[in-house]
Amino acid sequence: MISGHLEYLMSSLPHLSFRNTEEEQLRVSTTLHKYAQRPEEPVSLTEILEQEAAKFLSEKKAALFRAIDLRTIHQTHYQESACRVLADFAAFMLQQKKDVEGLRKVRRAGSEQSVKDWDRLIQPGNPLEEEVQLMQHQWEQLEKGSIGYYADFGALVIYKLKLLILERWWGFDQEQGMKLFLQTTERT
Amino acid sequence: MADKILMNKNTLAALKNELKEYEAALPVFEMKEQQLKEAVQNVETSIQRLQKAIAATNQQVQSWSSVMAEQTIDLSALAKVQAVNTDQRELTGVTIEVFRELTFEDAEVDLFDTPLWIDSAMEVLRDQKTNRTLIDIEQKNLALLQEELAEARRMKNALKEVFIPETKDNIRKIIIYLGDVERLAIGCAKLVKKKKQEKSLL
Repeated sequence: MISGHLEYLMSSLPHLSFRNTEEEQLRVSTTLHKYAQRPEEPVSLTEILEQEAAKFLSEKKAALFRAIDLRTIHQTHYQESACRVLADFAAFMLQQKKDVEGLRKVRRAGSEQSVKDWDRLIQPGNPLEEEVQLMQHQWEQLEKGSIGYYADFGALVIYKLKLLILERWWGFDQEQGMKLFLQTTERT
Repeated sequence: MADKILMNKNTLAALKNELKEYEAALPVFEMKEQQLKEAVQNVETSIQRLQKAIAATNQQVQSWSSVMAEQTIDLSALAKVQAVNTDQRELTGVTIEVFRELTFEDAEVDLFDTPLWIDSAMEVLRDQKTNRTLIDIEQKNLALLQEELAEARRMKNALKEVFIPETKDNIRKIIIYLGDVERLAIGCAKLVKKKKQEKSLL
């Protein structure tokens, strides 16, 4: 990978699409693994990205970049971040989490009419379909927020967030999930 | 039943009483066998129904089970059984367990921080665990009922194939024997009478 400027990094990264196909996974994974510092070690795609990005970022930004995680992105310090992209997405995630929490409360209460009011958030489906819908909303939010960011830190943050979303989706493994489910139900 | 029997009227009377008791007990055991057969069949049907329900849920879960590969929460913590409450019921002489309710330990799920799929997972995990518990209970009941059914069947067969035919046979033998003795006595009496008559003529 050419070093020196962030735009070189951005242009050498594989394009990401919101798709869960073996072909897409292979394409992204193969390209990113070429940049792995120690290819023999099993590392996640985001770890490879973080390692590679660290070469182009200041220590402070590299630390911030490494810390970005979908599970904690809604936290206040991200919402107050100087990085506009990060702040906007943190606010979006906080709202989405609040909405999902509201939906779950309504579902637990068992009122069908109230559940219908949440159709704007997700169309009812099986848990996988619903998770994919939520991830798609996150993806669309990132797409919207990416306008104007092409080769700067904001663009890199968006790229990492998109990669985190894809890694989460691609990590949904039917065989492993079913195995865990059966083990749990069979255990007394 | 004793191999040797006393060939007298007392034994005959005692055997007739026994036979009466055996013949009265036979329909009781036949009825018990029938009821137990039905009970066994019901429990077997119930187990099959539960197994089908488990298989159907597994089939349905398969389409979205991939989300459970996301290790955000310990799945077993979502459906930890706290207590299985049952009642006892008498069924044709067998005390069986009747499922009342299954309580789970309170799983503190953070609705804000955990993924949405957790709720569905918790629901199906609990359903499956409840059905499996029901199967365990039914299988224990089935074992008890089958044991009692085998016992009832043994008793019915013993009465039908051994006790009743043997008693009837012994009664028949005593009746024949007593008849022979009686005929012999009459014959002797007639002979004595005849001898006496002959003597008086001389």
